[in-house]
Amino acid sequence: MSGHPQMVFVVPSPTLGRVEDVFPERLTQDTNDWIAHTREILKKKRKAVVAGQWKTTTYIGEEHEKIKPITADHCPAMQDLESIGFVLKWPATALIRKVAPKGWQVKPSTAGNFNFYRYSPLTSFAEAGEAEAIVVETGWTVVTPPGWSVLFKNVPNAFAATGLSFAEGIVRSDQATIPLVSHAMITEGAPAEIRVKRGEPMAVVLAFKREPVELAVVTDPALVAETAKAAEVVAASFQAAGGVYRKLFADDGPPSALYPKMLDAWKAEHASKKPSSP
Amino acid sequence: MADRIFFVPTPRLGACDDVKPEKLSQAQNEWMEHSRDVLAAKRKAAAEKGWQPTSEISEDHHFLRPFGGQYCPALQEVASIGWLLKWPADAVLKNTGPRAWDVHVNETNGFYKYHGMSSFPEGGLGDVLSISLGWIVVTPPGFSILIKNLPNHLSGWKHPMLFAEGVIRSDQATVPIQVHALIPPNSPKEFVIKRGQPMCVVMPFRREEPLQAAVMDDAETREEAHKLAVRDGETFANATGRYKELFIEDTNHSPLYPILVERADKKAAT
Repeated sequence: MSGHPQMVFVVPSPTLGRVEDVFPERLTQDTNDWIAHTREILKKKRKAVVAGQWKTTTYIGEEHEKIKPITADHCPAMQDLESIGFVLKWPATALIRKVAPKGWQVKPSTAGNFNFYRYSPLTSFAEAGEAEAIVVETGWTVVTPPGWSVLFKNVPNAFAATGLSFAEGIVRSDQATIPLVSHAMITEGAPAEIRVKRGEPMAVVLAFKREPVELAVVTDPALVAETAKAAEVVAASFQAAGGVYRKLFADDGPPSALYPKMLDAWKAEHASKKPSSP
Repeated sequence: MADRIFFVPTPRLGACDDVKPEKLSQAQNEWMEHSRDVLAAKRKAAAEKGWQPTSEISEDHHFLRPFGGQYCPALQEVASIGWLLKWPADAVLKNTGPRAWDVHVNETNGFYKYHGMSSFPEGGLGDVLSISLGWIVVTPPGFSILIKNLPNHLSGWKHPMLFAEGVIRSDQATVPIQVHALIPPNSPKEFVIKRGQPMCVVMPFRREEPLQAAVMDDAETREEAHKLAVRDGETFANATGRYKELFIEDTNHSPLYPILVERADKKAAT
């Protein structure tokens, strides 16, 4: 299998039935609510300028995409999210309705069939009216290459979401062949009726290779100053044109010259702290 | 030697001992507190009202079937993936309109600002701040970082800022990290940000060749996966700590991966 691309396999549970409408998909900008937010800001600014109520301090004209993009769909950090995540979709339609201060009624559409949304004895005490968390069977088993895990997390940048917040956790999906299950909390301030619809984005899995990475805080004044200087240079290039980050660092770009220097400094510092051998 | 992730403070952070990034830990996991509340309520109901428990809630739960978010291996492992960044400065935020906020900061504080792209406070849209995190992150060649919200923080009102999540190629771009954060509508009308308290998370990961995803919905694979899932599920049901013992402390790869690679290749060829 050497040279074979790394694969993430997703296998539906029998209870999911036909799956064409709930196929997991690569994470895209479709679920990114920052795009709508920044477009709204741009629209309101243009309107205020036209009405003579406000004088703009930045370029907000039609050519902003070419000069200095100002909406989130151009953000390379958000675009890069697409390279690592897959969206899982709600497996069944359900209504979650508030019936008491801490009590929610879960009405799934799967009458008589498998129930994907239940109360778990670990996170709810429904009999006593404490029912703010549900357990969600995603309906999918994920199988990753040896050495790879998945992070199960909430859909990023979807702040207009349902009012449910998933427990985020890591599953060693290269070893445990089990359908993914997570708990979801109904968040403070959620609407009194939450509508969950089969096929709509539910959560995200990020596959990553397990490898240890250690933390080092750089305090050496010379290295701190050198880093700040390098940052100024990079910031200046960002100011000059749009799309510079992508051009320099995503499409092209050698690694930062600072990493080997920091590593050497770290090694020297730790070597000097080692006790001398007898 | 393990690869390193370097955090370099930006000059305006000042002395940084009180805001040094820390390994993510269970201290940020609010499912622990929630499940403890549920356990306490169940014990009380059993003792006072004769409620019949449906799962183990006595002290024996530690040995038989641990009850609580702190025992979940998936939640425990989240702590292995990232570092916690802390708020770099104090601030008080006060709601002044449907989407408008007053940001009260020390006049020398340049960390929390309105940004032209995400706010228009002059037009009443001031519910997004641009946050300078105070750190430059340098990762080994080939590593990026994911900036994300704190995992397993449950109540929006306790943590009223929602960060924009994104990926930075920190092995190449030497830039102080700046992230936009939304104050959601369910936030309290006034809240305080304290320097040194948990803010967001940085998760380094190696950029690989793009992963390919394949949905395997043929009957044979579905049946095989189901059989293995039943087997693993029964193992977990018979004793506590099986997941950790089998998959974290030991390695037992799924027999399914090589079979699925072969099957997917065959499918692609035909």
